[in-house]
Amino acid sequence: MNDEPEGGLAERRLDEHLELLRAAPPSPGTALVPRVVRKARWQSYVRAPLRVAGMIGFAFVHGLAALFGGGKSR
Amino acid sequence: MLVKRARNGDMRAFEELVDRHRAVVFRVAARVVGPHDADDVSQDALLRAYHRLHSFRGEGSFRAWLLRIVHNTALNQLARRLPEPVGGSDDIERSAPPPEPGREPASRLERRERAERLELKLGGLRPEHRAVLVLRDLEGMAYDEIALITASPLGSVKGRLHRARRELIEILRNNTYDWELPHE
Repeated sequence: MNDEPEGGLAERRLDEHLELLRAAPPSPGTALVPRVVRKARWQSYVRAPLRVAGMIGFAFVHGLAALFGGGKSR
Repeated sequence: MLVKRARNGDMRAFEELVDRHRAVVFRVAARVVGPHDADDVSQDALLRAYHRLHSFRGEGSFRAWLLRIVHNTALNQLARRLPEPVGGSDDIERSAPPPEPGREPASRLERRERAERLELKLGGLRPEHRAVLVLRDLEGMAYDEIALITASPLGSVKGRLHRARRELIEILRNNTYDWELPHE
């Protein structure tokens, strides 16, 4: 896997040990893909309305702050 | 192009992208954060990727772009955790699950036990060191791809990898199990 002999004997020995992990990689369950796709689909449905609601809320708070902030300055 | 289609809202294209990269995403997540959080980190990273598809400019590979998100998600997850005992401690040693008894040949059983011990020791590395070692020594990625994934200069990647290997060697040397790592 490594394309150059790196380090000394200890590093080469370490690389041999790491082969144990390379030989038995962890693998995801079959549920991962459908779960991610389902959540992505759901999030894409609610994302746009939430963004609009957020912008409205921000504008409202910003308006109130300007109103009261302006009153104080006078 | 799948990414373009997914970016335009084609869920089948996104599903195909996820399916194509799920194995490497999960492997990297599992090796960096450990098996218990790997599923959550993989899912979180894939969903983040979905919402950020518009930011993929195609300058590097999609895999590198995606793994950058996985890498960041995994490191954030580790940062949120409470401090853990560092590798080489007996606590980690004791937390290794016992091998299942059965008809498994002794050599295979021993190999599996060694792999489990090594996995635990890998968890004792500093997260940024662990990530680079996983990407290079376990996934066999090129240095320039690792530089993209970790958003680090090439020289830093090489330096970090060297320090990661030395750190792991030291952890293994201080272990009760003899890993036969000679002092030079």
